[in-house]
Amino acid sequence: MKLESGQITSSQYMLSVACFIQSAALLSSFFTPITRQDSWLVVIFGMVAAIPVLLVYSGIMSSFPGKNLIQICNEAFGRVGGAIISLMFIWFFLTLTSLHTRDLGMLVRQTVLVETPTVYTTSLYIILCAYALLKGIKVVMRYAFAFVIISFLLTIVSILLTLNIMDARNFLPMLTLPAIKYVQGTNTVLSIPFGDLIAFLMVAPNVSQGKKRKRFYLFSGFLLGSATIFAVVARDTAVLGSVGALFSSPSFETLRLANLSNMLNRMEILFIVVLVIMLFFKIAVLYYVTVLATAQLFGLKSYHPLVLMLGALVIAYSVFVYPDETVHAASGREIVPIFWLLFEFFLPLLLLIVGRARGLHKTPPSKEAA
Amino acid sequence: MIFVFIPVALISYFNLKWVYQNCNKTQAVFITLLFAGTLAVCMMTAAGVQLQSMAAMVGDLMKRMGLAYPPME
Repeated sequence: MKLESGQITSSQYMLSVACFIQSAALLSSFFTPITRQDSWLVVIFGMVAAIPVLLVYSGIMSSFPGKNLIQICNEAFGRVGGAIISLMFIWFFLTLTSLHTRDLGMLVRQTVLVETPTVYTTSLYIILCAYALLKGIKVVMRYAFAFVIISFLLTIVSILLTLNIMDARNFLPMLTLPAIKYVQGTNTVLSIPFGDLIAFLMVAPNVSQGKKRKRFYLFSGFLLGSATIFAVVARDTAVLGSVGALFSSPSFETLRLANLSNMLNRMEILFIVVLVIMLFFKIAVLYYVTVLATAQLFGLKSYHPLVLMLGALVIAYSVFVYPDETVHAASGREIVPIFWLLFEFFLPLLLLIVGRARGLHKTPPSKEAA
Repeated sequence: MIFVFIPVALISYFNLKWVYQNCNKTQAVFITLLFAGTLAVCMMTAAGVQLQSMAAMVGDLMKRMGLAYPPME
């Protein structure tokens, strides 16, 4: 059963993937304390490690055209097994949505609205996302182009404005940390910004172009997004060096230091504005995917009745998902990179193997599914 | 708490009405349970009850099993 009738073009899909990754600029604080001045290297390692993960995703997309992740789970693992795996994915998407909502609320509280309780900011944000969702996927994805351009512009402008305070010595010493730190950093980069792309397996059936082009656009979007992350991390390292590991948001501190002849300063507010815009996109996509997956699992004819209710759940869950920021940060560094691999790599790989072993990829998509 | 209860109850009422009109009994039961659970979670959070999320529980379990990276020095 098809729940979403809106179609997006391949270029919108590519830009959405790029935008989705770019919005993770805030999350560099999960790996910069681990790999310090070598953080830019682990971004490259993470990009390389993400290639097999993306190949699994594109393999699923080309093997099961016109079907989303929940439909594929039901086909590959049967009714009961599929429902259990689908519930696990729904929980994963709900947790991701809540974590990003919490991150946004904390960011706004720490930097702009310091006396406003986080729950007010997150509630308003979720209402905005719910409004976008009720209008359909097409509306959310349409804005990706503008958001990607804004993010690129800010990255370029911020690099130019901080050129005078960059120091190449901040990258030294290189490759001197214990090997486990590089493994941990690479795993964090792979799991937290890049692996979240699993959400696009729910959107893939709504892309109007052929399967080969879908793979090309997935990789192109990934390259665009990860190049931005690389530029941001390298800029932060060049400006802050290993001191950047001490801040909860190195990019915010870097832009705070940007100063052009005392005429242009306090640029950090731009970073916050752009990040809030980018996070709107990411939260909207994750929220959409959670709602769509739930509606698909229950076999509803429309996902609209679930939008507001799951929005309320996201707000409540974002309050208690972690007791405080210290636990959240520690979990993001020590546990989440390993745990998320289950949802982002091992389950999709199992899905692909089981689907292919059962010959499901040879079954032509039904008219209803397509 | 009343400011949480009123909007969430209103959302439940109107959306469940749609579900009861358009879905079969099994679907309606599951969606009602989902909505009741969500309402309960929202009310408990608004009342200040310290809930532990599944993410935190799994994290603790993984740490005990040694499936975690060493903590930062």
